[in-house]
Amino acid sequence: MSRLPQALKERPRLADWIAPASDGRFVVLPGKVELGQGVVTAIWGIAAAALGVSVDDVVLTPAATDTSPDEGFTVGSLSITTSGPVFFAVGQCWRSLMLRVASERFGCDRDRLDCAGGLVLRDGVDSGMRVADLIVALDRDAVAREDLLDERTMHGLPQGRVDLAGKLAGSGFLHDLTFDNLLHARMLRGAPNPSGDVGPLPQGVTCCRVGDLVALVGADEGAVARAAERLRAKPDWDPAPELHHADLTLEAADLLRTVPSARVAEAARSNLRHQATFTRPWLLHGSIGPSCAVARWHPEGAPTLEVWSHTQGVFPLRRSLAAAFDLDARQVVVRHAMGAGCYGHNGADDVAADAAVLARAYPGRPVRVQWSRADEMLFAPAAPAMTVMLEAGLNDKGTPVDWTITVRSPTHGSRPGTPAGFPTLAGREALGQSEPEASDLPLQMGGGGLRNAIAPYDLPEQQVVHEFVAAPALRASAMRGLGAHANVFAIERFMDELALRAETDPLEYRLGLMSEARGMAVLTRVAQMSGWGERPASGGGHGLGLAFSRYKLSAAWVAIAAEVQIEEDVRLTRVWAAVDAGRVIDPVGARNQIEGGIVQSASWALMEQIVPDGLGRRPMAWADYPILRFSQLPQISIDFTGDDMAPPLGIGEVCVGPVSAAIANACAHALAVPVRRLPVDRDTLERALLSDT
Amino acid sequence: MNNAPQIRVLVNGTSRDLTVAAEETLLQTLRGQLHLTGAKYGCGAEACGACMVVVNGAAIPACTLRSADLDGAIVVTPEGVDVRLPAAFVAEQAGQCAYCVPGILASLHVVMARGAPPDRNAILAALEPHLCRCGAQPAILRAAFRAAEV
Repeated sequence: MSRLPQALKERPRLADWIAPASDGRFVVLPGKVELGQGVVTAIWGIAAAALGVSVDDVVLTPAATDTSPDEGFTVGSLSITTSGPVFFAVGQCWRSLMLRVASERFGCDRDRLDCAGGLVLRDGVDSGMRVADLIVALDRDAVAREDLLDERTMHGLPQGRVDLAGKLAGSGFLHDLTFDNLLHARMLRGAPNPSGDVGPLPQGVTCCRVGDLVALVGADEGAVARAAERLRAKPDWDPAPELHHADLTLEAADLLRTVPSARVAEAARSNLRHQATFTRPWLLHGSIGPSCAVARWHPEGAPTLEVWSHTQGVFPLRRSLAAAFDLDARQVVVRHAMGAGCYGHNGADDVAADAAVLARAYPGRPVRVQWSRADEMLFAPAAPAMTVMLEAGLNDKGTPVDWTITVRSPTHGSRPGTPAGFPTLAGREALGQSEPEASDLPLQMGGGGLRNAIAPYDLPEQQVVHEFVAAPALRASAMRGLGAHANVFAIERFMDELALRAETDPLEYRLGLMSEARGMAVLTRVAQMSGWGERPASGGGHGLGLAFSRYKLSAAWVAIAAEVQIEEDVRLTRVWAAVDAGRVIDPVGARNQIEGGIVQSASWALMEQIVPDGLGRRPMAWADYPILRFSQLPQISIDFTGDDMAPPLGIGEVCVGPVSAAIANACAHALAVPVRRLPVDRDTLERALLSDT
Repeated sequence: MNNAPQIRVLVNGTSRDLTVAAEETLLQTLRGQLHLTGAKYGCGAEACGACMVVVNGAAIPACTLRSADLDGAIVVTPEGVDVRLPAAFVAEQAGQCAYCVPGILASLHVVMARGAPPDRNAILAALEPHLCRCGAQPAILRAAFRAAEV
């Protein structure tokens, strides 16, 4: 079997990934993008380790469609798993080629040479030659070959985040970029009478209309922003269509299609049955920085359209923009610049399209569009509500003998540029594009609504029914974990209910249905960490719950325990995590990702939902959509249990399902009631106490 | 525009004479006129802390503060905070996207500048107005405690 990663076979030229530069350094060209998760830093460290140089000898270039290889979207906790080995292999190839040059110069055998920290070592000691001296001798058109790889396993040089110091010093975001002759714009989605006059505007601010798209544009950002705020404050401003509670539940949803499992195992069905329905509400991404983009149309010469975006995929966005403006993809350059935290398909691509539409009216001038907080909350895609129905037939020991999960969900995949969901930009009306037919991410991409619908236990044949909601009330797309959040919540709550029914401890019940050693190990470990043996009695207001999952059945194994104290409200006091992610390349970054997953999922589980107010208005401000604050943080303990020899596994999204599930299980334990909906707030618990789950 | 307000403010130790629009916010003045982009736009409603700066010794959201009212004010932006703060945040790798962090540094600057050594409760209270969506709060707390040596 070839040891060269597939992406490198398809694009073997080494300099397309890591280019030797004339200043004696290497330029790393990741197609993956920094979303706040530290992936670009990790790739930088992996490249430096493979090259045998220090991180200072490696220059990082943000993804751009005219310089980077097409690595698709940065999604799915896959970046290190898929992109890391490519950069490690390219670095190894360059190292071998450099050592070949060095061996000729020294007239010695290559086996006696190596490089480390930018120095060429002969017989393990500094030879006086530097890597920088060899770079100029490299053939820039060299290609990857298997015989250039060595036996080292992928690892990275430990180093701090490449982007952090600049961000702390006040810059580093797309929002902070400066351009000559820049125009600023604010969108007026929801403007009263969009085809009519917006009224008098201050000097230097103009109203730009393209189809239904209306914006204010001017050179003074403050003046543009203030004029937009004044318009928004008008009483006839109607930012978004009215919405009511009933619109947001999936009970009466239009079903596009129902896909049952291929076979129904009737023979195994038992009369002893347990059935429960679990729900998750619509959620907002809630990035702290609203989306922003800059676009410029070049009046002459190529490329025609240049866009700066914090998209999750510069190439998919380029394809989408090229299609929208009827251009050849080569006439569009998309450059990645960092935005605020990205947890899925947010407004980044939409605002890039807005900027491109407006900039066409000002050829040669860069136009920067900054969405407002209300724009972000109202017009970016939301994470869809889900309803998950579970039913099991049980034997006399309470063990499942048949198992059916029915997942009702809108799409989780309407990113621009994806084959299924294209084109889905918010500004599509202005671009003359029609509403695309809804579809979900295919299972070979991990699925959308069906992500983690298969329970990670030794169960009889699992029946999976997908009820796809074709026309949901809100614009739905991917957010951290996709369907895995609701599915893991439902499955893990259902496991606790089955354990209760079988009068078995939930930990014992799960372990009895498992045979995979690494899964059992994290569960056992988190039980030790959380003092599971001394779990308080149920019903006293003090709860301890646990949950297990393996994201996409292919990323890290995760077990979570959560402790709650319930008086007036739910107080999440402690969370423990045992994570087997194989070899951890960047321990600090890994801890940050797991902590981040715990805090975000705790916020979803305890308090988040899109609910309209009495007038049918959707959340437009933080006051309408609270998220977890510093004072509500639980104490967090994490143990990475993976074997250092095992390949690294993705961790970015692995926590969100089991954390919400463990919190819900802890609440159910604290009050001795079935908890079947998120968020687990006072309303949910009151309903559970009244047995109206 | 001849009667546009003129103000003199001390920003990160430098005196600035500025002409501002009547409704201009301090955030717009800092980012637009002074190219100090540490304070970030987050919500425009004093609800997230991304635009936090220090005005006359107190941490205040710059998104709603009118610059015209600030004649004579002493302003510290995230670019001008106690150097122990960014150093501790880098050392702890505190911040994922880090969009929220500059504003947090401004709030912590006020705690650090008080005469008495800061304690954990004072730090927690200073952080309460701030939202972080990446879940970097545990690392941010570690960094804040490190900077304050508590």
